Amino acid sequence: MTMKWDEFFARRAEDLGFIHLTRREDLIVDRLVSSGAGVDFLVTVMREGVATGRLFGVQVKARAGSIRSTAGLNRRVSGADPSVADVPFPVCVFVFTMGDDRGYYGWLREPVLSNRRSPTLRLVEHVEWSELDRGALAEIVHTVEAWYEAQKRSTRQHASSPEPRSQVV
Amino acid sequence: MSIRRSGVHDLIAARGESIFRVLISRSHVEHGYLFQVPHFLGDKQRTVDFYVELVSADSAPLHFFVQVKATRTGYTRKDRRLRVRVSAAELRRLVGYRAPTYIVGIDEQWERGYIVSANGERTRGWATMTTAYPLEGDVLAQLKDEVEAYWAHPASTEFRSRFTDPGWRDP
Repeated sequence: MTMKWDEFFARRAEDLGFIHLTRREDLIVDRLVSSGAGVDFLVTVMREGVATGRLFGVQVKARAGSIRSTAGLNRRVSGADPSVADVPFPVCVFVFTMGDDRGYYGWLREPVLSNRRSPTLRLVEHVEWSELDRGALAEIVHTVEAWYEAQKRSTRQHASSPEPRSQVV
Repeated sequence: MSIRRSGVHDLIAARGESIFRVLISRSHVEHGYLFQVPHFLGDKQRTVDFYVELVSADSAPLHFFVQVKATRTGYTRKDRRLRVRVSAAELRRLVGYRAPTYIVGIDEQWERGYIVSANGERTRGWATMTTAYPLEGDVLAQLKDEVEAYWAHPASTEFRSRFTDPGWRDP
């Protein structure tokens, strides 16, 4: 039952991802095993104990050792995994450094709200890494909620309009 | 497989299992990785939850068993003992395993873990456990030494774990 180091690190990173995500009681965390879809966790935001249907995905990666700053992380993560290109909801990537179990995150399918009438998901080519902690997770959830709210507004505004409701770029 | 929260107890248990796997498979500052990521043994009918192998060059993997108890109820004021309940029946079943066997208490909120022997030193159940053996650094190294020593002579002598609870006072 011995395992290779890649598998060892991958399993530790998956557990660390689960631990981080489940720190919030308003998230339902589904672990997708062997999905091959580029998403390891499917996360549903709850409001007042009820699932809202607002989803985001999390891809989890492991890295040996530790880093001094986020500059030490590969920014071209998305290029190595095109499997998230057509995912229709926000997706972020978590990386955990195995030497110290610290976590970092960035967006792969980033919610963009610059145009309030048509919220978009940007396919990120160069990941901007930030440290993952409770505050960062709160920011992720806030961003996801804001994107879905904008989608809802956009849908209402376009109910009587022939313009496209939402763009995926 | 999908882990979905169906209740707060399921969530605490699932978090406890993940916290245990992460804590025990951490790298030691001098010795590197000491244990493989534990294998979850599945259903709740089992007494032991995890099979854990040592990281070792031996062809025959050395191992031990763990039952994980996760709690959100914190510690006692006196002696700062973790509030986890283990029954006498559970302890009797754990003694039946022919390998080193331990109970790990997980403080789910603060994501800390503590280990204690379950190799027959105590026959009565308990409602709190010692926090003298946190799952970190030297305790992990001592655990590896203990399991290696057991498997060096598995049938020769009665196994005496160093991870006994100072609060145990069986008659």
